[in-house]
Amino acid sequence: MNAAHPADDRLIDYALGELEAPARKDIETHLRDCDTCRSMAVALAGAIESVRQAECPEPPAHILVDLLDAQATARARRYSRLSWFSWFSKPAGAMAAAVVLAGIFAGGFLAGRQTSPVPGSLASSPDTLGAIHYPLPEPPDIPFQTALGPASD
Amino acid sequence: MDPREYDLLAAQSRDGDPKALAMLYRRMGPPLLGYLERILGERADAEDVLHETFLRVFEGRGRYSGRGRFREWLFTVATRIAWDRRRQSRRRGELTATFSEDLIRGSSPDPSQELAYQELLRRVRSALSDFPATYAAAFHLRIREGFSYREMAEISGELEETLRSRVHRALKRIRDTLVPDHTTPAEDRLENRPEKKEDGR
Repeated sequence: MNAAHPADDRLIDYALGELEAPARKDIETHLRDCDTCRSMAVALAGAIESVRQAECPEPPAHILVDLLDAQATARARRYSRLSWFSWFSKPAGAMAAAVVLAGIFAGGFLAGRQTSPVPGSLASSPDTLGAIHYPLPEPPDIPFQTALGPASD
Repeated sequence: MDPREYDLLAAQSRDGDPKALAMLYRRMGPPLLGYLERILGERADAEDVLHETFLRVFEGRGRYSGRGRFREWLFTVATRIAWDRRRQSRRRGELTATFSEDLIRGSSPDPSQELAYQELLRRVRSALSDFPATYAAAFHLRIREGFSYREMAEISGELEETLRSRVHRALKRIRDTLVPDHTTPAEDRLENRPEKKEDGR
């Protein structure tokens, strides 16, 4: 059967389980009759299996502790950035915000009413009051000379 | 583990869930650390890179698009950081062997089987001890982690055929160690073929 020895790569593909069914069957037929190839296939399969089943090293716990610290820091940073928006995303927060805003508007309205100009006051100005005009008091009827004092000539 | 579960754990870790991060670390830490040791040779360097790789997971750096390929993405990130680290170490002349002493540790309960197993592993380790890190990395990804050559190409940025060639050469070396007196007609035809020079990365 020596003339039918499979190529090295073929035997390795077989040991790795990478061959399709027909090719795999051909190799297995050969292995039944060929001690040389069988010993190689067994050695390869054993080596591959031993590596597959080998334990991995255990990573140290201090790395996980550092990672958890970093994660907590990142989370805190993110929440502080988003705190204003998160207020509005919760029902209680949204209601409280609405009450505060309503208070601000109401307070502003009342304050505005209290500081509105009194009709006839000197502070009133047609420019600031728009189309509303308030009557100014009539000037007293004083003779011209009296107002300036007696004539010098 | 279902690949989608890794996606979920990664998303929860990014959202600040410490339990998800701890579970992800427990699941992915050991295989990733084993792989990084193959590349870097030193446990301390491998742990540094492991740390940095996981930081990227929940800091959202890098671009993981989901779709159940988190494990592949994690190995890709780790590979890039590890090779950068290795290049820096080489510049500083700090590089050591690529296969450290605890490459493989068995856990067979039967003492006689355990002895045979340890002996086999010792010979496998010995066969690969002077291989370049590129071979060690490819061998680990294919044999230990079970990645396909297509996935390995995405992880390492190298051609599938190159990676396949490295895995095969590593296995041929192992076979030569385990079955020293083999000679097949296929090898007779090829024994005078010159070996290709590797980049020695």
